[in-house]
Amino acid sequence: MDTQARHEDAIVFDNVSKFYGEVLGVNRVHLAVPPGITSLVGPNGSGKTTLMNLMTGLLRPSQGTIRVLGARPDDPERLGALVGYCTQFDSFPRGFTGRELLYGYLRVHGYDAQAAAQRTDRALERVGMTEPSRRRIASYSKGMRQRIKLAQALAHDPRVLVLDEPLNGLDPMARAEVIALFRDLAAQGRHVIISSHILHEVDLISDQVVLLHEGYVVAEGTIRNVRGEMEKHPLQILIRCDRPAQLASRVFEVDSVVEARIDEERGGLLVKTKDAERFYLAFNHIVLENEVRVEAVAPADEDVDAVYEYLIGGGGDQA
Amino acid sequence: MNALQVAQVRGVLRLELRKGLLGRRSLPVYLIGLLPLGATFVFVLVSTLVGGPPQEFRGAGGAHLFFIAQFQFILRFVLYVGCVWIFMNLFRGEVIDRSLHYYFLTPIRREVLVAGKYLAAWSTASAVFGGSTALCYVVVHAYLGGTSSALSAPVLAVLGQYVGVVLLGCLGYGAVFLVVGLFLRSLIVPALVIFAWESLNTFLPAFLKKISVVFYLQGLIPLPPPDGPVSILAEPVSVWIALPGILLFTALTLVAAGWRIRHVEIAYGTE
Repeated sequence: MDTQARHEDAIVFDNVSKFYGEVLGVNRVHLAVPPGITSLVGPNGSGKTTLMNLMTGLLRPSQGTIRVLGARPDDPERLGALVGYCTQFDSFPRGFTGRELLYGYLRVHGYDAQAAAQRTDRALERVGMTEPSRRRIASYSKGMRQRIKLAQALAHDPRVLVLDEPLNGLDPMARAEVIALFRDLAAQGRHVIISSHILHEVDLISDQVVLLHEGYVVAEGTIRNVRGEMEKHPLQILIRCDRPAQLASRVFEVDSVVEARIDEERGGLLVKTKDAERFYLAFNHIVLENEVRVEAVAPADEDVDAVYEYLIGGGGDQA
Repeated sequence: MNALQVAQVRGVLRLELRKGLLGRRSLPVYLIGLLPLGATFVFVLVSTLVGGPPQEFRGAGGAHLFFIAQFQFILRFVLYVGCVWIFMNLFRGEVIDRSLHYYFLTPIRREVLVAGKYLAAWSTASAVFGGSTALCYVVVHAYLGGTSSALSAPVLAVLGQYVGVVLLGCLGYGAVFLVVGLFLRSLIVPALVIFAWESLNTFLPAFLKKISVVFYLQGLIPLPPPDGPVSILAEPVSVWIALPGILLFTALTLVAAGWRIRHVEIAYGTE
């Protein structure tokens, strides 16, 4: 695929900076976001919402260029059809019901009455808001308002969905439904860009992450790749087995292992290794030779939380 | 404008008419619109209590005379204040409510959005203030000149011209306040400054008079003001200058609004 074709199917930030007066929003961002679920991760003020507002045309970059599937953010006729944005603003035009809001803005998209009504019904159904949609939004709970914003972002069937903290205010069942919806949309080849504080959910649903800190992109890619590139921090592996002490003495024989200790809190042997591939290979032999009964082997710090902690040194309120 | 843009303008009109006529911000508009009607009823009530209207206001001629003065109140105060409220809040109100982004996220050119919102606001202002003017006119003529006189063709023809002036006033003032609301955050100071400018228009040098809405509207009023203080305020301008003048002024102002809206960003947090 040539560069032009890749840009037509990606959200591309080329050396983008945004300043609010003298305050930095984001700085020198280079990104190419492919289809699938991409999570923007970082503490408050790290630039997540600024990036989202830039790619949806609500803000203009101070420098650099942005293309959303080839469309410029200052071309609302193309961009508005391509992008649906569920903002963090918990605000609505006054006096409208959920249905009226969706229908009214679909008419502004240019749909005729019948098409707008059909799309309204479908979007409301997808987020489970058919029943309360005839009530005024002012009477909605936080979760309902969140869902109606999602419906509004989905209603025109956009190829790019930008969702700022979309799980906020949703109960566990609604979260599960919405996450399934995001997966479904991503499976259809759409771009789903999510920002979220809830890192274990980000871990579960993201195809890739963009880690932000104080307006800079500090890492991007799949969690595993980002983690794998961090040579300064050996990978931690937690092993649950019947004889952890014996296993600990044997894993020290593997070159790449720098630490092995019993972690009583997590109930297993915690091994730190500089080369996970070599360790796993050697580990198989050790287990077979010593007839150790292994219950579970899992990376202990191959998640967004740990990666962010290593990269930034903690201190954020991202979790 | 292509077919899609026409459909989009209709979509904006639907939403904005709903907000303008039924929304929370419509109450002050109705109250302002009721002012001249209230004043008319007070006049009728007082006149009835003291045994009839003053001699100079009796009959169809007196009704015309009375309404000429009343129309100055409508033109210089009611229309002005009403348009300030409606048009300055057209975008500023949505920024305060944090709901402007809903429009900005639709595939509508910003200039087309301005056109749709302006058209809706103009329709709202015209309906309220045009309706108020028409009701006042009919009540005044019915009370002072008799019901048959109030509904006679010549009297209604003059009414049509008055309402036409109100509609043009909404057009001109609307464009001014729309653009002020887009360029400035504080609305009270510019509203007062423009009010002073429009009120002092009569005393300005000839070339400055032309930079005002009321200058052109005065030229379109169907009946000249009577002798006395009000006559000083009136400035004879040809209809052929006044009408294109207002339309040209409105068009230029809307172009400025269209340019401005293209550069507007959504940053509610900094408002």
